[in-house]
Amino acid sequence: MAEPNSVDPKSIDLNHDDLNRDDLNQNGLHFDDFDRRFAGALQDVEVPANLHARLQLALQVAAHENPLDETCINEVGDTATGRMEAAHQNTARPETQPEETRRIVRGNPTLQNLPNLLLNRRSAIAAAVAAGLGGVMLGYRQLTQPLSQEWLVKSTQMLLAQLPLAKWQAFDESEAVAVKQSLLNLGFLRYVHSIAFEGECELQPPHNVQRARAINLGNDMVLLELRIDRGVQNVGSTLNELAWSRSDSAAYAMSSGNTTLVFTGPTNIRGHILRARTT
Amino acid sequence: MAIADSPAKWTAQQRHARTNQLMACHHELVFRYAYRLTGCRSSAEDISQEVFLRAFKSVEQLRDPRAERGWLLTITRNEFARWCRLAAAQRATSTTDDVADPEAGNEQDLERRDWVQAALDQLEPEFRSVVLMFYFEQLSYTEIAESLEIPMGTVMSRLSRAKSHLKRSLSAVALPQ
Repeated sequence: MAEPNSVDPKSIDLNHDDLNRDDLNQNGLHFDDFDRRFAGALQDVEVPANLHARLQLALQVAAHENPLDETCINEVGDTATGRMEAAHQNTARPETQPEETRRIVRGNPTLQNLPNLLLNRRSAIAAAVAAGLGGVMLGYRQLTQPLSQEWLVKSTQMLLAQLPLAKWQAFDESEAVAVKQSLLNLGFLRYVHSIAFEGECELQPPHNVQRARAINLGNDMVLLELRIDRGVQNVGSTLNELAWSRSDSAAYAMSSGNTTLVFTGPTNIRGHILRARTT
Repeated sequence: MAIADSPAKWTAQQRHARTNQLMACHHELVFRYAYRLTGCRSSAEDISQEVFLRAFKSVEQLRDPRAERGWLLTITRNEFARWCRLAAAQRATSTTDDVADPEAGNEQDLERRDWVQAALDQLEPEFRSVVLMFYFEQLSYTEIAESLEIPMGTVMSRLSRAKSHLKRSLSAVALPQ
């Protein structure tokens, strides 16, 4: 059976008599036969069966995460920075941010915004850990209990303390391509094809971590990659807890073998992260 | 659902309900339009999602229920423009072999090729937009000109050239009656 939106490649003479039958479109403009048939063909597109459900999920997430109580309303086209600033207005930043956290963050342009992001708690989103590259299990929940700022500060400290900066080291092109391809293979990030790798940071591996690096993907997106030979429970749990704590941005943690990836980005890509792998 | 006179008083629940209503009625239309604009089903899904998320943020602007279709298609067109800008940035920063088009390439895809879309894809975006505003949205020349802020003569010129191209491209193809 032919595809609904395909056209049999058999010949047709567009100078057929049908062309002489004029018609009007809804605005009263003359539609000749070609116009009418072409307009009809344009509507002949197969719609994915689960599209409505996926859109509903994305909307549900947006409605939960963005209650639109005035200061958080973002006009179409706002930058992610504007979004963060607007969200931050509603969140009291603790005056006693630990010096250690400030020191580490100051030294890392990639992570400079992380504490601010983490300190904004309104609701939370998280995605579950993937079981290998074959599939990704996704999860979503709304936190019912507020997180304490102390907990967030402590979690931030835990994360950053395990990622001390050592040196900056640019990826070579093949490495960047490999990372992009990995993300595509995992199927959790459609926008990856439009990502420009704006900066990469090679991190000194903490204890029991073979390799750690932070990758600034641009557009406010950051990818942390950890390669861990032996299980380090507090790293994984901390990352997942941090992922849950994000409210003004999307976060995603996944593991495959000895590699753990944590992706963070602005809310407007949340639906893409939530979207289950379909291919 | 009646649209409130005072948009500022809309709650998130009201916005959610109204957007859900729009989505139920028009998600297929939005997807079809996005697909015709982009020629890519994945991108059409992405754009569809963005359209309704943006609709959620500004649904109070929709005062007249009769304008739903046009309002959503306008957002779709704006999202397409953004998509074009992203694609241009990607072309500027990516190597040719690191970005795979998931819908291009294999023989099965070619066999199933949508010839109408193939003809559209050959048009530059500014021509494609005009064609789709005319044939898909069925806007008048004046409405297209006002929307795109270009002279009506330009609209007619683009349509004429695009139609010539489409007729040539589809001359060996049976468009449905």
